[in-house]
Amino acid sequence: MREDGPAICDGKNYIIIKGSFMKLAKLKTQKQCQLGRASVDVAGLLGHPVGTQFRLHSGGGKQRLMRPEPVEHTEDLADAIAADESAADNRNLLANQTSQAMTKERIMEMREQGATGREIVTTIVDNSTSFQGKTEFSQAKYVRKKQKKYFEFISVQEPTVRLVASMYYMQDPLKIMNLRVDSLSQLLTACSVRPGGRYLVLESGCLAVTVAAVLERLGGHGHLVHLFQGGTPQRHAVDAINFTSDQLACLSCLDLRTLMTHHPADPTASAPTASAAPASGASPASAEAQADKTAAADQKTAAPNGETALTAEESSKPAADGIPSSGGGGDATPIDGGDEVITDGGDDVTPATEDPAAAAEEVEGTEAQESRKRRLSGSQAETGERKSKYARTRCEDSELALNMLSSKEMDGLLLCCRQHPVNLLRYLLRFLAVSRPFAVFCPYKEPLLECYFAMKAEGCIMLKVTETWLRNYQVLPERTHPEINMSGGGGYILSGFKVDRSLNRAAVTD
Amino acid sequence: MSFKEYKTHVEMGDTVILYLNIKNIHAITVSEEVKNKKGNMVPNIFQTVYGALKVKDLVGMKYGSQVQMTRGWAFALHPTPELWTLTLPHRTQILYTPDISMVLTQLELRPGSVVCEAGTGSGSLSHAILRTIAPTGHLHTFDFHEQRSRLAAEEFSAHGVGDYVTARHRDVCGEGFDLDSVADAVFLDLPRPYDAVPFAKQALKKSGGRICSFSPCIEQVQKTCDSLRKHGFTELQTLECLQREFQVRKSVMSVFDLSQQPPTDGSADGDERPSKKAAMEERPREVLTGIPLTTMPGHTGFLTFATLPPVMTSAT
Repeated sequence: MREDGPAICDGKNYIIIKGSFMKLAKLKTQKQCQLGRASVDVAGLLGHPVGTQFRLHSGGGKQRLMRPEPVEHTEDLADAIAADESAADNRNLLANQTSQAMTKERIMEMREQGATGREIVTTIVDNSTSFQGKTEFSQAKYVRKKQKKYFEFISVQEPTVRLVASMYYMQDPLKIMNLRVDSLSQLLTACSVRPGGRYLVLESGCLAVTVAAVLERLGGHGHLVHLFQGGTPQRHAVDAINFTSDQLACLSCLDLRTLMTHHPADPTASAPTASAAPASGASPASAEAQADKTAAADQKTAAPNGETALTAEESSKPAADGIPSSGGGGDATPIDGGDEVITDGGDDVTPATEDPAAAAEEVEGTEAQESRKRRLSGSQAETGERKSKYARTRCEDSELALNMLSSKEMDGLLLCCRQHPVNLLRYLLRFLAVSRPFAVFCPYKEPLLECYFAMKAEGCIMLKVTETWLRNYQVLPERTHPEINMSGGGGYILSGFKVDRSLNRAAVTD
Repeated sequence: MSFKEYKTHVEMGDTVILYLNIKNIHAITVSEEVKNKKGNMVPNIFQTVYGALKVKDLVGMKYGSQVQMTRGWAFALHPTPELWTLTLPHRTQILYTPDISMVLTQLELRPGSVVCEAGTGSGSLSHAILRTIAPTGHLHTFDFHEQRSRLAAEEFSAHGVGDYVTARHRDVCGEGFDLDSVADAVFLDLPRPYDAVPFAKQALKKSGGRICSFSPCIEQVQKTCDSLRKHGFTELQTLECLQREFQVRKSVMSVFDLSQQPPTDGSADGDERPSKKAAMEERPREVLTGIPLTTMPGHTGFLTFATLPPVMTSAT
């Protein structure tokens, strides 16, 4: 039935893409998949290769159940709907409310009667008195705009870090601390994440995006310790991706407090203040070079005043519903009944569904409601259909993570947390091996400036604070230009290398 | 073979990244002797601003430790693809880490991925790809320049990653990749990438894949996007990403004291005498700040990404 590669399966997660709208869904037979106002008959999707594009055919009626049909190409109506004439420019175009004869009610009627997107858009174009007066480009733009609203093509994609991170960012950047995809990609290279390596990631408040990203790059080889603060570790992105059990076995989670019990921070520490490192007073570009040359930089300013009583800083979220045990399945935050409605604020969303949380409530099937009830009542990990995919119990996980960290030879350290990073970074640096990199992500620049000086005091090298400027382009014949709106910022990154400053005479070992 | 996996101590044959300061980082191959310009073998001594380093003395040192030289010291760092990008010998213009990072993520590369890359150039992106797709993936890399292709192959071999890569001297725009339905991703950094698009489609798996084209010029981008659309690629996205670095400093700024009354000793005509001026200023303030460097990269190239959907099957 399929030539190559995986097919869309029952029970797995997929990203459904409809235009610029992305949604994560677990596809289940005998269920429908909600897409904005309409719902898609899942049975029609199963069995086709992952990545297939489908045209949605209206089932008619108020229910708006769409029947998917796999297609080779999607249609760009702008090419298909050609006007007899167009204007050279817009000098004669008048802006008034009377140019469109079709009413909203008539369009809704057409939809209910099962008209295709093409028919609806063609009708709208035909009923527009100003259409002929537009330029060719303007006509195409108009058609594409209408098409977006009545667009009936979707594709079903395998969830990858790229898609999941982009989706969360599009939904609400603040939910993931403004961690834009390019910043995420730079965290991975800044730490030189490679399969077989051992990585320590402290993440909180980022929906486990960085954890999933490192896990994807490990591909079942190596290890990742996910350090979290209080309660249970976030799992959203990790659960969204269909990781195999081998890949998930690379992940162990450890509570920061547990780590501190075994490896206490300096108990005489005071609360974190701005770093006490001396002002470099050097010329701009060689600030670091200058510091490297001074004798002062040689001395490892093991700064006890930097270590802090971390307990004061932690966000202690009380553990949810007692201690979930076996397999960590209870730790997971399952996708709400498989239906997470994410909008891009596009036309397709009715007022009722503009609040994603409310929408989720509306569309939950009975199974989803039950699963929510089970979580709320604090029962154990779900049984039956949802088999635990985590290799170890929470205790085993902690033990494994502790053993790994005790060697203090991690290959990379990554911080991406809502708390101020400076004391956490100072504390966790000890677990990193020498000649290995660390990277800290922060939505704000100022905390990273403090971290810069703190790490300088620790003797680290190649310290760099950066941000990335990202701009998308519209590329069309005769109409290529940067997009009108662009992201204002995607967070900041501090990176550097830990080294050993106890002078090692080049001893000859022959 | 320090590119293959992390090790703790330097061995003969390793590539060591010698860090003197932020503007002085060098990749050194650890060997007793090295060929000089005249072609003779001479002792491998690396000259730096801090003195000479007998390279063979690095053997046995722990990566990350300080290396003593006559007039100062440096650090011996373990190589990573990112450090290699900063220190490799340029045979062509190369891709830098911000673009490389985006490419790796947008092409969804991970262990096991099979990638086609054209052209190989100086191997900057190649090393990053190899690190990401090992140990089960494979990189097929092509360059139409015979010497570059050969040098790259030698480097891959010397770096211990030869098993994961096939470097070929071939013009993919004219002759294609000579590969059928094997790749998860294709990367193009060519003068005429649009000519390679149909071959890229052929090289990609029937189950679909991702493609990226990197072009400095917008005309190249336009033609490439046109070609991608014509060949059935979807989800086209063209973007630029530029990294902005901050100079982090503690700046001392003097503060004008507004609370003091100006002196009333008759000189109200605004004559500025140093002592009067100094009296009007308060103790200076220290400001912790990060300001952008005076110049930043303005353009490297446009990155165009797209998806190839799976081939339609004739079932149901």
